[in-house]
Amino acid sequence: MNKVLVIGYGNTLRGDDAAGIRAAELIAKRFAEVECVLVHQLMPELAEQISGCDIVIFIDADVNVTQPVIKSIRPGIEENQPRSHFISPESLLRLSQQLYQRIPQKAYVIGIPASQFEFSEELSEMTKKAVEESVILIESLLLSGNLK
Amino acid sequence: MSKLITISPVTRIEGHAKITIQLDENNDVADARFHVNEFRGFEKFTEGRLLWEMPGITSRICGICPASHLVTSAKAGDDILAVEIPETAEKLRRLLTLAQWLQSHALSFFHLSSPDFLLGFDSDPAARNVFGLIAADKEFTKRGIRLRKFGQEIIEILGGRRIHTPWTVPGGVREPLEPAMKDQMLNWIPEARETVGLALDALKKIHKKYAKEIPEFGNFRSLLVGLVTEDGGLEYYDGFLRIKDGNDNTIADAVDPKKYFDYFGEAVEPWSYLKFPYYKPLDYPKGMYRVGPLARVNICDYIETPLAEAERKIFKSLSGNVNVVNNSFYYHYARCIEMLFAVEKIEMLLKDPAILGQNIRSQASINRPEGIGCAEAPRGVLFHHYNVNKDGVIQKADLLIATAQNNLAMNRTVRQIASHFIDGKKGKITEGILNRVEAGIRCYDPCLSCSTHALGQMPLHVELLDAAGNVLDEVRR
Repeated sequence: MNKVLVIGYGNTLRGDDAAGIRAAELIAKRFAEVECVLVHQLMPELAEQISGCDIVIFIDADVNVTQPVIKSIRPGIEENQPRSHFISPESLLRLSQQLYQRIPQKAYVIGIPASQFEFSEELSEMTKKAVEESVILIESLLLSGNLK
Repeated sequence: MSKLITISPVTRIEGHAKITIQLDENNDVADARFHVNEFRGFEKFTEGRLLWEMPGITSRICGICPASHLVTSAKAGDDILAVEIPETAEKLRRLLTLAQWLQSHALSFFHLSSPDFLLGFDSDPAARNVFGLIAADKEFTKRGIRLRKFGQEIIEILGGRRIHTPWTVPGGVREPLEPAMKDQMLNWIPEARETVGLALDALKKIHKKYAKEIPEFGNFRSLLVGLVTEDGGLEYYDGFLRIKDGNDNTIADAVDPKKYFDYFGEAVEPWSYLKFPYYKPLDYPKGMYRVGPLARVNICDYIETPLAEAERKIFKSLSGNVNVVNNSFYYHYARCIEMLFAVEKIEMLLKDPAILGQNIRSQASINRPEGIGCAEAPRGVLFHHYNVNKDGVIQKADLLIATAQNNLAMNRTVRQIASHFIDGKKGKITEGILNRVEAGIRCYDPCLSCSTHALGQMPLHVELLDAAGNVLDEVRR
């Protein structure tokens, strides 16, 4: 069985930005064997944990999509360079590769449609629905054999 | 026509910001400003919530220093409950605060600032980042990440979750520390101490390498504000406010942090969302002051742990004849000293039998309509000030954050660096100079309320101003 790591991230005080966290929470409830990490934002120390898994799935809010999307990613770097305390999934993979000489066989980013970022602990109706859809999408990935 | 140079967004600092540099008719730097584009509305958001929820809510403001908000919020709650928390609870909160310092300082030093130091301010910008750092010194980079991880692990052990743990509450903490967890933390100490030593060694080489440039990195006299113990030692959780000036004169001492609003006001400027706190007796903007590592290590009379105290004495020797290190570049040095202190003090706390006590929470109802909490966050002294009704419902909340308190000083630093390094007559600014301006800001390690990082969303706002301050053009994307 492959070791699967799900990382949901976002700010739970800023409306739809919490979409990734909410989706990862649901995955944790439904798949006990999947390791789920909930974080405000991605941090460099996650690289070590990522290097130890076979599949990693990042889940984040996405302002550019209208339905949940899955994107396969490879180690990379942001165009400008890692800036501030924010680090991209691609950069984290690259950190895993360069610091720990190992990356997961597969890495995905799930983007969940998001539009409202005012101070709120509630998701918009659109994002709430999209969170459910994204979980179904991830479940199908987990069950289809793609991740096994 | 004057020229405007904009650097936006500022790389490798928290949040979203931009810098504008205004040249005058002679192409000399007339002004330079550090703008913050992120609006912080969470104080209003908390109105109507219960006091007991506040640590959990405010710790979610920021992904970088949640534990500092957690502790300070709980302290404001203690004040409203009018309780003295149990000894074990205080020690556990202290442990949490130091863990926050360690993980935040480690990120600032190793991940964000070391690329400048070890690769050079003029090195290829495409490689002047953590990956360039790995290429130059992989072990150093790895060590830095592990040091941060140590701090994170303490926070996770204490709170049960990596971030935003509501473990600290008004009256104390929710859970005691398990002995096995204490041992797990202690196992990290030798490596952590060694890693901080490596950081200090690297930094001292940098001081020599950039000896000519460092004097221009925010080198000015300002007030310095922070907490000290009753007898003047470095403090991070409790104690009294001390205010010194850039000549080592003590302006105010043994000030009850609950009186902070008697001493500090907040000004606003139309070009930044971040407020500009100032020392009231000197008025705005003359009442500029600095908080955080540089202030703390300068104003204290001693540090209680031996290795950090030895470094503090070396730090002080940099000050010349005024006994105050006024140069903002030395924030980095002070930050490393504080990392050393944090490691030593964490070990002391963990070896104290009281840390495993089971009496961890004082229970009380609402006993005061108003409460103020104060602690030293990594970037400087943090205040939470709440007003509640008889049921403990928040009527008003005011948070004075460290980054705002450094706002005037950051602007002064940007101006100084720009004036020194930019030759407007050449009509060209090298990338290395732009990076120095940004590096001046990074000395303060500002945290601008990390709000949203949704994919595809990168707030960027560029303004073009004429000499009179009129907006000539405006771009958003």
